[in-house]
Amino acid sequence: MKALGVGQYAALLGLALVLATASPAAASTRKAAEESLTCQCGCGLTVHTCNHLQCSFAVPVREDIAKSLSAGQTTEEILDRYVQEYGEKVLSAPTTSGFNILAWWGPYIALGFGCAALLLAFRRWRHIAGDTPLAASTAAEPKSLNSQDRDRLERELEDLDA
Amino acid sequence: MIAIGNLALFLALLASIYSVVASVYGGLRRRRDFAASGEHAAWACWGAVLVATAVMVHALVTHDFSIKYVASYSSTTLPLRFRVAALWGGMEGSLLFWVVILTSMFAVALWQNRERNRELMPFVTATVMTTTAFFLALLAFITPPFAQLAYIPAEGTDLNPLLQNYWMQIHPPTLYMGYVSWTIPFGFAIAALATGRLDDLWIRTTRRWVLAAWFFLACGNLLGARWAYEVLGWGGYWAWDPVENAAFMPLMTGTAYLHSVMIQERKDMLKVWNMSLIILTFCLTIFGTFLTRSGVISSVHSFTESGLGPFFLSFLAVVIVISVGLLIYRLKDLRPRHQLDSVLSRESAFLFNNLLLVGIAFATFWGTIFPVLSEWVRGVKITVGPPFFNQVNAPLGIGLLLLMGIGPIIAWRRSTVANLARTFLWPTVIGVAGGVVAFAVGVRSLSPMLVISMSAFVIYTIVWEFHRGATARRSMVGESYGTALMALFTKNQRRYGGYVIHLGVVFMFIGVTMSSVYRVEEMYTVSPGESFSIGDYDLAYQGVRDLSDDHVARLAATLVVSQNGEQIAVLEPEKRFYKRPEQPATEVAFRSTLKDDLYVILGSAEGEVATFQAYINPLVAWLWLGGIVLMIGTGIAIVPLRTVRQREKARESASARRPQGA
Repeated sequence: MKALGVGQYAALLGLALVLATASPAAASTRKAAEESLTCQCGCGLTVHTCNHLQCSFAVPVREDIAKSLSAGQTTEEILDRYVQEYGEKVLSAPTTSGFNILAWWGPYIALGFGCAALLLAFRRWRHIAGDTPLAASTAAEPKSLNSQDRDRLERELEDLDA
Repeated sequence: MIAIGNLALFLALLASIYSVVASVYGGLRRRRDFAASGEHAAWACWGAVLVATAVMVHALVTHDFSIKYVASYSSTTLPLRFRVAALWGGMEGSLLFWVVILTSMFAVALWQNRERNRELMPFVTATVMTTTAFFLALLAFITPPFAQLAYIPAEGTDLNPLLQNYWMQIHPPTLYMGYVSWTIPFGFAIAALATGRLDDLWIRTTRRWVLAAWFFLACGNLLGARWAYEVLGWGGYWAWDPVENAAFMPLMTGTAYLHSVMIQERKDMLKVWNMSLIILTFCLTIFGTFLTRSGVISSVHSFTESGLGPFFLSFLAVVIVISVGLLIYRLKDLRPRHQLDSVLSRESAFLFNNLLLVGIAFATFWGTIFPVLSEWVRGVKITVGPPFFNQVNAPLGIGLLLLMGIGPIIAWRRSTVANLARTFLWPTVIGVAGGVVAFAVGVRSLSPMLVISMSAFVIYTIVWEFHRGATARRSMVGESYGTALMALFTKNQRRYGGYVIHLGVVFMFIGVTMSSVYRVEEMYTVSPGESFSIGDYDLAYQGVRDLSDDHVARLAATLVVSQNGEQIAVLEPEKRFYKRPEQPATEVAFRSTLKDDLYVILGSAEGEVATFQAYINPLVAWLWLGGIVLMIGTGIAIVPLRTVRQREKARESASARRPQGA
């Protein structure tokens, strides 16, 4: 099994950083490392959150993480060891190298396309609206309404909503 | 009885297929007799499905272990309420339950439209009955619920212990209703496309159905979260499990539709987009059903692998091809009649809201299927767990929260910069003040600070909208302020119900953020008489008691909880061991207040020495409170508060006020 690459380290460190900055309680490196690993008992949770107190995977891994950290190992070294033993699936989030980049960027790329499509549509709409005299007249700052007009407007808007 | 059940299923299948054929023929040839015959067949299908369901419930209640399903999901010691709930505890029963909900809902829709929408109804019937026929075909040929065992066992295997909980009785039915109800608006959308009646008739007709579907789906998600919190015992409520994601995605696209449809109603635009959202939401409900039953993606919620995957995928492909085909066929008739006037408008805020909601749905979908993609492309199994979903969805969620404040107060059609500055001055001041207060009380992390600040912003805009509406009514009608405030709900249910829903969502944002970021957790091993502390709670361990019965072995620990030296509660977390199937389970104990939840799990007990996992979940009650507020808001939007006479009167006065030719 291949050791973790620089990008993968960066991703995991990023994750650890997010967890650490997210919560004072989560500030401990131990928790960040535990959250970076998926429990293999089938619970679908991370090593940190697995609720099987006698879990044959999470309990020894938690002990190992605590021991390894106090022995001076870094989080990356610990995670690297688990990846070598169990494969990438032991990590609770995809790394940010190679094909896995798509996992992280996919939603934002899609969102970017959505945003671009929306802005193009706005431009088109504005262009069409700008050609019409009605739009030109409404472009002016509306005059402030007196209370009677405001009430009427309110009433009509309510009827439209109903 | 088994023969009756099987016969009923086959008759239901035949009736549904006949209904599809007769309805399509009646709709295309404008033959009222065939259309009516199709509807009659749908009624018959409903009746037959009810009979099949009654046979299954009877078999579960009377322990008929000759039926494989009954022997697999119940036992003689299983309490009656869980024997009934076992109907949706296994694959075959859950599909039968799905069909009974679908046909029952369609019976309501048929009754509502017995004299209305005659042009659309044949195609609505055909669409709903096609879906029904698909599920019935699975039940008849692939996963027969009344399959018999070669011998009759003396005892059943029993229901999964995790499902033996009162949440099991309400969460799956609610969620199923949420999934299934989207079939009705989808049916009307397809009917509109098929007939070319592309005005807002189908939208007006399905307005309440959409709200009801959204309500059930939202409640299903919330009840699922509550179930996880109380039953799964890991201190949390949402783990981004594939099946949770499956229920979450249609909720997001459905919410997008609820907002964008308002633009179609007002401006007669976004017709293609709204059709697409309804189609997408329906497809996601089928995708969710596929996920739980295909075995493609492992999940704690999954039924056993069944080989149903290819059938669901094929059905999904057929749905997509027909829907998108119809959409393309009608594209030229779906052109907008009006254009947006300005980017600075409420319409535009709604569009960005749609972008974010669909973005969240896509991110969730992407994360859910990415492990499968990775295995296909690289041959490497990977996990996409909670850290991914939290990290990707959190910024989108915060954006959505911001838009929830902007949407209600920005003007329809067009705003100017000066206008915006005037409108948003105070909400912004209040929002910033919220952030400052959060900082002052010790909140230092960015995300909670942003959420609190924006929550203050949104709450202010909601309160302001109510105040503005009540003031306008008071000056208009001369009512007292209180009466005017209450009248807003009856005069414009959807708008003010919607604001109440927004308030609920804000509470949920606060609850989720604070309980995730500031959770405290500790593990303690103690002997009777010893105490431990977490947060400002002191817990004195008294010992364990054996509460076993024939059905389950139970060990309950007693913890006396004190705060500032005063006893405030007694918690009794349990360790359970179910006898059939032999499976351990935890029964958490917690004390909930608006400030925080003290949540305790009994991990193990060796003799009298017990190990506890204890959590403090700050403000988590706001999540559930927000859920209740959301339900009230939906109730306000959905329940007919005005009498028919009052509605007619309002319509008459509105048309009298409308200028000629408008």
